[in-house]
Amino acid sequence: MIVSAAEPGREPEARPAVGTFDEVYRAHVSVVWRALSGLGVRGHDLHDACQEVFIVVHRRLPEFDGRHKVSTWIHAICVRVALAWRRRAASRREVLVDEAPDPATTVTPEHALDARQSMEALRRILDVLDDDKRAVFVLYELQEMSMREVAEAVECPLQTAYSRYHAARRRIDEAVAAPHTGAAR
Amino acid sequence: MSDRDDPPRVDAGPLAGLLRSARADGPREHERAALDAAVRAAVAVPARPGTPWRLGAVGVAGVVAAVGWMSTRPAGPPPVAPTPSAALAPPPAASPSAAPPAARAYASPASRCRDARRSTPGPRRRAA
Repeated sequence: MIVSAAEPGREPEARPAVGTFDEVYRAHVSVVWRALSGLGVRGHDLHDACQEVFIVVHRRLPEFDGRHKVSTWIHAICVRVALAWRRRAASRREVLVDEAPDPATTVTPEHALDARQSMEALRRILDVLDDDKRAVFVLYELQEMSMREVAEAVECPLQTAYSRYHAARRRIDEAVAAPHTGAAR
Repeated sequence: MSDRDDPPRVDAGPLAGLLRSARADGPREHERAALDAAVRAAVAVPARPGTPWRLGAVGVAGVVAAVGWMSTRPAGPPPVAPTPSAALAPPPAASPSAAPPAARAYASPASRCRDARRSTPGPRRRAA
């Protein structure tokens, strides 16, 4: 279900000018990169998933109806593409490591982390969440969208988005507080 | 942007610091260049030709034209856009078997003798 931003009884507005594909691409490439990264797409998959998002944007831009903000619409595409890539990656390979990642060791404020390292550390923490809660948490906290926009992007009712967010916060707080017991979802 | 009813965001503790720092993440310069090129190439690739069910809509003339076109269509896979990861990947290492044979570093004594015999006229040729 898509939650529309339009108010009931209000005439739909004329299609807003969203700009050319090049303008949309330039304005959103970093946002898309960060969203996909937060949603769990890694390594070289991140480049290819980013390209896939913009291929979809290019194909569907003429049909964009302006009911949502362009950024919300693009985030909805990101959520779907990221989910598909993560499923593909899971079926393609499993990366074995000597030890399970330990969120607590990466969340020390003493570490001077650059943006890439921070994102990697954040991804390890977000791995404790299931896909639905992760999408809501990433769009709300990392991408700083409003909860209404998040609900539109993940195509769920607003109250469901709220409850997914609160559940995600609880799960993350538990994982950060007790990292050695927090590997399971 | 937040609505009035939105819950407060994470604003304290190490997680807030990670989130703040991660918000600055994005493609690095060389990654951005590869991505720009790949996206440009991908959106410039023409769409695949129409599927046969569409031919009914254009009538007999369309069928004739389509059959004629398909018979002249070059064989081969449809155009595929390059992926950015392929652009970023290092070039494949040449296999040893594909490498050209190395030049001979030196002539063996036996071959030097053979070459010397060939270049020196024999007694019959000297007599002639």
